[in-house]
Order: sequence, then structure tokens, then C-alpha cells
Amino acid sequence: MDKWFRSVIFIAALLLLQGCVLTAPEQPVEVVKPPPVAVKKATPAPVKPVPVKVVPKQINSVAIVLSNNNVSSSLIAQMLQSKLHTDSHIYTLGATPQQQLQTVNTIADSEHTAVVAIGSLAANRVKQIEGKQLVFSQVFNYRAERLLEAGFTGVSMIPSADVLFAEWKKLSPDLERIAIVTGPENKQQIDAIQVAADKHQLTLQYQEVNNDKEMFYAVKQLTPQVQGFWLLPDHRVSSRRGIKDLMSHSMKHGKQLVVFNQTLLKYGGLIYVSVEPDDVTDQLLAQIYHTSDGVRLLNQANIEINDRVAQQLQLLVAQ
Amino acid sequence: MNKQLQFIKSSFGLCVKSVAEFLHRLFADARNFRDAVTARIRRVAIFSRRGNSSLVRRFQILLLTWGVAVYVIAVAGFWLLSTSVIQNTFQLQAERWISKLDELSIPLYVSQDIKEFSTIESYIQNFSEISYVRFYNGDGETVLAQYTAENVVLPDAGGFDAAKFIELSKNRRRDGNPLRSNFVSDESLMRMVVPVSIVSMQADEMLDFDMDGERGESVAIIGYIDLGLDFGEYQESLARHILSGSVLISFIFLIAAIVGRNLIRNALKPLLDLHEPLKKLAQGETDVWVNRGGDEEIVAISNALTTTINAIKGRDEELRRLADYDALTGLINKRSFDAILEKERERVIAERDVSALFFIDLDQFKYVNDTLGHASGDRLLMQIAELLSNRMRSDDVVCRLGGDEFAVLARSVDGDGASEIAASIVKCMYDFLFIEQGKTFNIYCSVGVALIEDDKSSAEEIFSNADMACYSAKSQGRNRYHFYEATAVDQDKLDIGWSHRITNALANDKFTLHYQPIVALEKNSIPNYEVLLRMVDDDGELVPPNLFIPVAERFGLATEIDYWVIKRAMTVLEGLNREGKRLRFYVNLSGQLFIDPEFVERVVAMLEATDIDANQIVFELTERVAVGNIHQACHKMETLIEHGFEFAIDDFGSGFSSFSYLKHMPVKIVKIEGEFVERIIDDEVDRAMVRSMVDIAKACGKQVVAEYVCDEDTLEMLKSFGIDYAQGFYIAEPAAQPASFNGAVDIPDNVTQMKM
Repeated sequence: MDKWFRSVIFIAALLLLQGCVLTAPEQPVEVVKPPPVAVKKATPAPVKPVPVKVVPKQINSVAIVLSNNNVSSSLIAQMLQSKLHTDSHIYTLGATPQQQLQTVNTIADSEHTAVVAIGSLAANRVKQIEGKQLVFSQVFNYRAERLLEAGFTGVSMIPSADVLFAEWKKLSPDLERIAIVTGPENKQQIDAIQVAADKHQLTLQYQEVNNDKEMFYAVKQLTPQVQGFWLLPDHRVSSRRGIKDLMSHSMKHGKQLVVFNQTLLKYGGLIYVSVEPDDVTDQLLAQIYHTSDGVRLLNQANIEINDRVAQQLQLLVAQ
Repeated sequence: MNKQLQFIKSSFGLCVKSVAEFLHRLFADARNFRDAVTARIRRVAIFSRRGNSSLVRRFQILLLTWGVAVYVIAVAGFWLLSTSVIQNTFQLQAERWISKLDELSIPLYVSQDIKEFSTIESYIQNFSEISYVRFYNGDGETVLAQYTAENVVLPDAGGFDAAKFIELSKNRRRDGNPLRSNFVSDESLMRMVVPVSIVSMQADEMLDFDMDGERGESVAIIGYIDLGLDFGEYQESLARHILSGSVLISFIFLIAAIVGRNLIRNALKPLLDLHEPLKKLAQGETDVWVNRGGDEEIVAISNALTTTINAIKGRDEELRRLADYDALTGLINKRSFDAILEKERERVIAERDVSALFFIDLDQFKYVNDTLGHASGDRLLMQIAELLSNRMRSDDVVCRLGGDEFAVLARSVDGDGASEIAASIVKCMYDFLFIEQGKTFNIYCSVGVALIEDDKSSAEEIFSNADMACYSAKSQGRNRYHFYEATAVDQDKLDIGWSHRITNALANDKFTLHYQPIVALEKNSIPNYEVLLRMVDDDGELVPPNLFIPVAERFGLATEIDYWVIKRAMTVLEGLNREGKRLRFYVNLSGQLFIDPEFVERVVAMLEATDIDANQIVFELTERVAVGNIHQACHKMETLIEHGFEFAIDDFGSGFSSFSYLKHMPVKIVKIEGEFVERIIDDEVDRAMVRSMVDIAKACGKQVVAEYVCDEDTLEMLKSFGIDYAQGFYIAEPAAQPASFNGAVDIPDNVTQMKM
């Protein structure tokens, strides 16, 4: 009883601690917005508790490995480093395979007990490291890349669909049917989105495609059936030409587009949705210290609305 | 990238080389074609500058040829341009079709299910230009699906280098421009092969990629689209349109040729109108009318032509006038008169009519001419011509035959009428006074009349008859008319024959001189000879002067004979002088010579041309000549005497002139008329006359020569009278050479004999 009671108290304390962290997140890093596009940043979604189902692990040191030094990855890495209770070191893979292999070998030979890979390339490179806890982040096609089978746990790259749909519905109350087109093996993430869609009474049509041309073809096929598309960052079916054609086609047909890249706002994107780095790092901490199976979803999302497109689409723009 | 650049460079180099070779061949072929066409064109008569084709036809064919050439060039250019436009249009359209097929082929390539081809097929069937479409798999060999239009023979599969496309896809930026083969055109079929490619981005670039960049994309080829386009239908349509247009233009050319021919004819009409006048001019006709209408250039040509024609006409008329009329008097000349006379003779014969021909010779014309000069003579002739013209009827013909001779043809006049006309002409002339330089001259004429009344005489004979009648009138004392009589004409004809012989002798130097000594009765005098003229006839016989001198005087030939004698005498003297034989010749002069205005000058010129002394020449002139025109004769004698010549009065006493003439006449020698001398022995009166004449001559300071000394008694008697020289057969007969006296220059042999 006493043991059970202590355990309950410990869990409650952890939950409280976690809740404190989530309720008081660090100030998110400001993302430079493209000047020509007027966007409105949506209010972040309310914090929800993250379920933890595993026992905390003893972590001595954490290696944070970046695929490259892009802004979002670096921000996540730095924020994670600041939140870790243990030693940590940030690694960036080199440009050449030799440099990348050297970096991986260095990590493998180090005292780090956990490796956090931020980005697809980093995850795939550290996949070969054995005897260390492996966590990935900012990898969209983790299924296709067989990261889970390789012993990874991870954090989803997709921002909170619930938050997105809430803001989208605010902007476009008549929104009922949306579509998502991605490459194969994304069922888990789509299912999570489907749940959020259902919550917001949106009909989600999902279609798998194999390449950029199929992607565009599918969008054209789906265009008459939906009011908007949510573009997800599946590199396998994305090309610049395809994205341009797709967005051009959607704009011509008055479709609302949610994009994953702020740059795409000036090509006709209505909503730019991105991850909240604080949310990502919290989910990473949870994975590092409380190993769970699979992938943790994000609870938050940063949302920017393209006022110009909204006006063109005659949507209500909340001030 | 380097391989790509090398490929582009090599392709560009090959293209440039091919274009250069093509242009070289094209220009060479063009030059050959031009030379061949030029040679052929020049063989065509219409383009030959040497041809005689019509100007209108030449213009028309040149215009038509030019029009056809322009049309052919235009059609060729239009064909090339249209074909190029069609190809370019097809190329652009093909790229759009390829883009659409690329999109439509995605389900086909994804599913690899031929059923997906139905959508593509239904799309392709909308375009008849698409000949075939093949969809290859990524290996570039396996045909996934294909479409073939009707009546199209599908080419063999493949035929393109898939590996090259793959290489390009790896190295070349996939910037939206499709990777495709160059268009390959074979006649009307155009082929294009385009790879079906897919592109993917790098996973870690998705959140912050640059849409304008090219980094992070990879290209993969999943198949190929082979598109064949047939633009033959367009070419056929173009050819049909050109053909129909050509038919229309040919029709327009035909109409233009007809209209153009008329237009050219109208435009060139003033020029063409010149053809006929020019043709007539070329044939020698001058009675040509030239139209002066048309353009200014044609007017200029017409004016020039008209001016030329008028000039030719004027000259022609002037030549005709000069040929038919006498320039001085304006009367018709002998040539025209002969023609008129012949026509009149024919008319008279035909109409049994009678007409008369008058031959008129002025009696004093030569005197007027020599006295007052040629200008006065010309004025006299003009007045005579006017006088005759006014006297005759309008249908009569007055002609100047030449010199002072005129002829009149009086039509329809019988013998009596002719006599009246001849008498009136003589009277008219008798009444006429020629006033010139303050002097008045009576002009007389001799008229010969011949009737034109039958066909027995030709026009020439009639004219000759009138001439002889005129001669008879002159012979009868002038200032009269004479009717031609056939029976009295023999002597006249004979004289005319002599005149021809004299003229011929002068021309052919058929005269010769004989020399008769004139013996000085005192010693130490140089030998004197009278030169005597002889004519050599065709048989070589000598003709005595009494047979031809009167005729020569009658026909005005005496003057030239005198000059011949003077010149020959001087030449002989010159030759004798060179031989050391100094002689003196007595030369007889005719009366006509003294009225020759050139007499003195010519004689002096002859003297200067020979190496003799003037005093070796003694000119003899008869008392009749000397006294007849004593003033003029004295003046000329004095002039010649100043040059050294001497003069003698011949036949003194025969004219019974006043002795006072002798006193004033500048003669040195007097030759007493031989008829008195030869009778002094028997006739007391002649003896007294000779003695008186010798005395008078001596009293006047003249030397005396006695002619016709035929015997010794006469010579002795003459010596007693005191004569200085003797001449006659008793002393010596005339001889052909002065040297025939055996070198005895001073005393001839016969004289010596005489003295013995």
C-alpha cells in the first residue's frame, strides 16, 4: 500500500512537473516571416497533458544530431539542450558522407546514452549506432524509412491537427471537406489527423500517391470534391514544379491550401502551419526520459494566415 | 555538365558545318541555274537584242515573264514560310500535347494497366494531326501502350537513345522545361520523344526550401512518350490553295496580258506610228507625214524626224532646182529643157500639131562681159532672161542653155507664127538697151528657128537644127533670125565638125609650127622668121590654117590657138638660144585675143617661164584688128612693149585705113599687104601705092617688110623703094624647122642663092 501510494505520489509529481513545464513553456523563437505576405498568427492551442506510459530511464548524456543547420532544427536542438537534465552535445552532420560517417562514429564511441536525431538524414545516419537510445524528430516518413524497426522512438513532424482545424474553421466556417495527399505508409499520422477532422466535423479525403506527377494528378482529381488541401511535407511526392502547378491549380479553383513551408504562402497558401519547437522538445524529453513505443504526436501548432489569399477567397479574417 | 556542354558544342558545330555546306551547295546550284537560265533566255528571240520582234510583244512578254518570275518567287517564299510556320506551330502545339500526355500518362505508368490508356486515346483522337503516340517504359524499349491514327504506317519502335535522356536527367536542372528530343522532320512527319520523369525533393529541405532554387531535387525517368505528328494535310491544303491561287492568278495574268497589250499599244502608239514614216524614209521617200502627238519624248523624236524630213525635202528641192534650173537666171536649164522638148515632140506627133524651137545667141555679150566684168555680164543675162520670159506666152518655155545662149519652145506655132516670134525676139532685143556703169549698150542677138512638126527628127536633131540655123544667122551678119533649111546645112555641119577637130587638136597638141624667113636687106641683123601654124589631121597630113582659122574664130577657139602658138614659139626660141642660135619670130595674133582680158598677163607669164628675150618676139596683128579697136589694142600693145615685145602691122594697106592710125600706133614694123607687092612689076598703081606706103611708114619711123616677094625683079624694085625686110617664096618657103637653112642663121641658103 505504502509502495503503491509512493508510486502514485511520484507519478502525480511527475505529471505536475510536466504540467508546469507545458503550461509555462519557454518563449518560442520568432520565425522570420516573408515580407510580401501578410499573415496572421493564430493563437496556440491549449496545452494538453502528454500520456506517459513507460518508466523513466537513467540518462547520462545526450547527443543531439542535426541533419543540417536550418533554423527550425537548430532551434529545436538548442531548446532541447537547455531542457535536458543531463549533459548533451549538439552534432551537425557534414556535407559529405565521410564527414557524416565520422560524426556518427564519434557519437557511437562517446559516452552518450541517448541520441536525438533531428531530421531524416540524421536519423538514417545514426540508425547504425547500437547500445544507445535513439530518438528522432522532424522526420515525416519515419515509417517508410523504417526508423521504428531500427529501435527509434520519435516525435511526429506534423503539428497538431486539432489546433490547425480549429483555426481553419475559424477562418472558414463553411469548411467541411478537405483532402490530404501524401506518399505511402503514413496511415498512423493520417489516422491522427482523421480524429481531429472528425472532432471538427470535417470530412477528410486522403489519397496516397507515388510521385509528384501523381500528386498533382490526384489534386486535380480531388479538386471538385473538396474545399481545401492540407499539404504535408512528404518529400517523395513533392517537387518544386509539382507544388507550383498544384498551388496554381488550387488557386484557380478557389481552394484553400494549408502549407508546411512559409515560402509557399506567397504562391497562394492560405495557412502556414508549423510545429511549436517547445512542444517538440517537450515531446522529445518525454521520449528520452520515459521511453514509449512509437511516435509521440504534437499538441501545439504555429499558424499563420495569409490575409491576401484570405481576402481573395473571401474568407473571414479574424483580427 | 561538361559532357552536356561538349554535346551542345559538338551539336552546334555540326549544325554550323551542315548549314555552311548546304548554303555553299545552294549558292553553287543557284549560280549554275542562273547561267543556264540566262543562256536559255538569250536564245529566245524575244529577249535577243538582235531580234526584229515587235516592241509591243517584247514589252508584253518581258512584263509577263517578270510577273511569272515574281509570282514563282513569291509562291516559293510563301511555301517555305508557310511550311516553317506550320512546323513551328506544330512544334509549339506538340509541346502542349506532350505536356498533356505527360500528365495523362501518370495513371498508366503508375498502374501499368492498359485500361488507363483509354483516357489518353480519347484525348488523342481529338487531334487529327497526331499520327501516333507511343508510351515506353523506363527502359526505353518496352512499349507500354501506343496509338496509331488511321492510314498511318507506324514506324519501328525505339530509335532514340534512352541512355542519353537518363544522363541528361541526372545532370540537367529539371526547371520545368521538359527533356525532349529535337524535332525530327521527315517530309510531312514530325517526331518528338519526351521522357516521362518524376521529381522528388530531399526530406530535410522540405521546411525551408527556396522555390526558385534547384538544390535538393532528384529526377527519375519512368517512361518515354514518342509523339509523331503529320502536317502533310496542312501541306496538301497549302498546295491546293497555291494551285487554286495559281489558276486564278494565271487567269488574271491572261486578262492582264490582253489588257496590257492594249495599254502598251496605246502607250506606244505615238512611237509605233513612227514605224510607217520611218519605213518610207528608209525606202527613200520624203513625202512622209509624222504624227506629233504622244509623250514628250515621242514628240521630241517626231519633231526631230519632221525637221529632218523637211531638211531632206528642202535639200531635195534645192538639188532638183539646181539640177533643173539655171542658178543665175532662174530659167530651166538644158537638161530640163531636153526633157520638155522630148515631151513636146511626142505631143506634137500625137496631136499632129506644130511647135517651134528658137535658139538665141547674144551678139555682144562677150564684149560686155570683157569690158564691164562678169558681174555686169551676169546682170545682162538676168535682164535678157526676164525680157524673154515676159515676151513669151505662159505655156511657152524659156531656157538658158549656158553662156549667152538661150532657147525658147513655143507651143502650137506654125511656120508663120514662128517667123513672127523670131522677128519679135530680134526686135525686142534690138530695142533693148543695157545700161551699166553709166554706159549704154545695144544688145543684138541671132536667132535660129526649127519647127517641130513630124516624127522624122529627134529632139536632139531638132535642137541641133535650131543651133545650126542660129549659126547661119550669125554668119549672115547677126541681129537676125534664120529658119532651118535642111538643104543649106552642109557647110554649117562641116564647120561644126571643124570646130570639134580644133578642140581635139588643142587638147591633144596636134598643132605644129612652120617657119618662113624674113630677110633683112642690111647685114648684121639677127635672123627673122614668121611662124606659121599647121594642124596635123588624123592621117598625119598638115592642114593649112585657112581651113580651120575662120572656124576657130567663129567658134571662139582662136584665142586658145593664139596662146598655143605663142607658148610654142617661145619654147622653140628658148631651145635655140641654148644652142647659141639667136632668132626672132613673128607671131600672128587674132583679133579675139585682144579682147581677152587675160591676154597681157598670160603672155608675160609665158615670157617669164622661158629663157628668152622679149624682143625675140614680134607680134603681128592685122590692120583690121588694130584699127577696129585701136584704143584697147594700143593699150595692151604698149603694156607688152614695156616688157620688151615688138609689134608689127600685118597686111598693111588691105583695109584702106587712115594713115594717121599708123602715126599713133606703137608698132615698130609695117608689113605691106602682099597682094600689092606681088604686082608692082606689072601694075603701076600698085607700084605707086607700095612706094607711098613705104615712104609713109618710113616717115613714121617704122621698118617695112615686103611680103610675097616672088622674083628677083620685085626684090630689086623693093630695095629701091627702101624696104628693110623681104619675105616670100623667092627668098624661102616655110619650113618645119628654122634650122633647115643648114646652120646659116644669118643668111639662109636660098637668100645666099638669091644674092648670087
